[in-house]
Amino acid sequence: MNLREEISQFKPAPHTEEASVAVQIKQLSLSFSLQRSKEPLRVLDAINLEIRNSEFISIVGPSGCGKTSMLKIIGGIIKSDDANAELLGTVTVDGVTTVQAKAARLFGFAFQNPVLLPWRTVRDNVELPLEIAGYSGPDKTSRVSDLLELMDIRGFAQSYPHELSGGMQQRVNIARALVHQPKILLMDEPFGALDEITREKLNLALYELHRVKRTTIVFVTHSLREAVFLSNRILILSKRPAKVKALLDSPLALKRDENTQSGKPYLDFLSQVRNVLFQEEQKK
Amino acid sequence: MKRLLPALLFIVGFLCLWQLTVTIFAVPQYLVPKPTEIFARLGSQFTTLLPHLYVTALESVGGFLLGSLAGIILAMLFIRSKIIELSVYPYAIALNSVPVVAVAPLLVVWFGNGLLPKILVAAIISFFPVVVNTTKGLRSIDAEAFDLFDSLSASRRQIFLKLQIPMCLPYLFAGLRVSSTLAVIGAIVGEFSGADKGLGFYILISSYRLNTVDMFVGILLSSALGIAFFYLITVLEKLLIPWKTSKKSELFD
Repeated sequence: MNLREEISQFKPAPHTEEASVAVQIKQLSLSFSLQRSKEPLRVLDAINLEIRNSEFISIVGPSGCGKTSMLKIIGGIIKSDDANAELLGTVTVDGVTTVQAKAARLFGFAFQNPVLLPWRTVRDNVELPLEIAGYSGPDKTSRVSDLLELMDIRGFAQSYPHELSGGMQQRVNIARALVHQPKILLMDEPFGALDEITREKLNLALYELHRVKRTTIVFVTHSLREAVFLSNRILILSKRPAKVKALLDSPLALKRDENTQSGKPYLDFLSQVRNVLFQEEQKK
Repeated sequence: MKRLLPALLFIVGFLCLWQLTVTIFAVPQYLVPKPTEIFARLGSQFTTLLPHLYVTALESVGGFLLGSLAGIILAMLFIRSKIIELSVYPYAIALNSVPVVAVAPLLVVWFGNGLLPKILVAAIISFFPVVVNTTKGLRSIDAEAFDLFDSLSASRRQIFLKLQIPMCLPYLFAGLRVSSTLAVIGAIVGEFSGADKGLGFYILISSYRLNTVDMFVGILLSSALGIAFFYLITVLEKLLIPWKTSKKSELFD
């Protein structure tokens, strides 16, 4: 079945699977010991969170509050045996530790900086995770092609990264993050450096991708509009050391499109998120 | 070709002006010979010159390979170990401020009149740009690129081969380009301090005889050697890192 058919025949996954837990975070605290200062920098403070399978969850909060660190902890990039990081609490992914989950290649990462390798074509860049995993299945090429198709960059397969615009590079970045079929896609402000128009296009592309693939997505962003448009749930963190301020369920219908952003549910939810986020600042 | 034309016209104009000035003011040949005399001598002496050119080229290439290899290995050690970097890097830099001309006679004392001391001088002089540039290249890699490879659970070997090496190639070649011309200088300097073959030897002997035409011929050939070497590295760079070509290197296209 090709991808277009797959999209048109798509039916939402049964609800039971949606509710199962993908990532379990219990009493997670993080501090960094900085050089020269005796006082460690407290970043995260007793965070509890359950990320459900197949959900799209956004993490928002004031800048520097530790959103990225949280994402890196989930992905096993910051781990308890790092020299300058002190990690308390537990994070389990599918019942195993983050380090085990990383070794099993359960994660796909997409950063703000697309970090495409300049000597590889778009196709070869997307193929990188398969190459690292030593994957040589018969569907190797078709997997890459399908993702290029899905991200609408098939025509650029043989181009080099420097020939692409920022938005195109991000599309490649996302395709690469998905090619090894990770269980969880971790995204750190992937559209932060893009202009508004490109950003909206990519938001739609990402929404479409999530709708088709049902990959669990943890999405860190500074843009509340983006978070509200895309998410099933939104986690709002406080200033550093970050605590969970609120975890909001999206009242928006699952189906979203270009018109969603002018609808009343969207605007109401946006102002709700905004109010929660700015509460603290207003009190002081 | 359009870029090359003005440069060609300039050199032709320069040579004509030289020829005219020397002719009009009747400058004696032992001071400044005419370009036509130099080129005529180059033609007539070419078979005599060829072995000298060969020896100097051998020394330059040998020294270049040795020096850059040492530079690359050391840069890789620096990245691996902070201790090695802290203890050795300052001296690697200090080595650059040691005048090679001063070291060359010592190397001749140690290793005799043969090829080895010249190769060593060329190696010492070409080592520095390579070690500095390669270290810089390996250091310049984005932390997010390492995070990406980490998130994919890449092995150290994979990170090295698929990320670090290709990432630092443009920097390495920037160093190699500088080293290639320096290596020729090193070989000539080495020959000045004691040799019986090579372009440096040829220039030195000609100066004892006040044979200015031969000196110019020697200088011309050693410059040509340096330029050819530099050009070779540039071509190699274009072949090895094609993704860079559209961005820079305005020279020689």
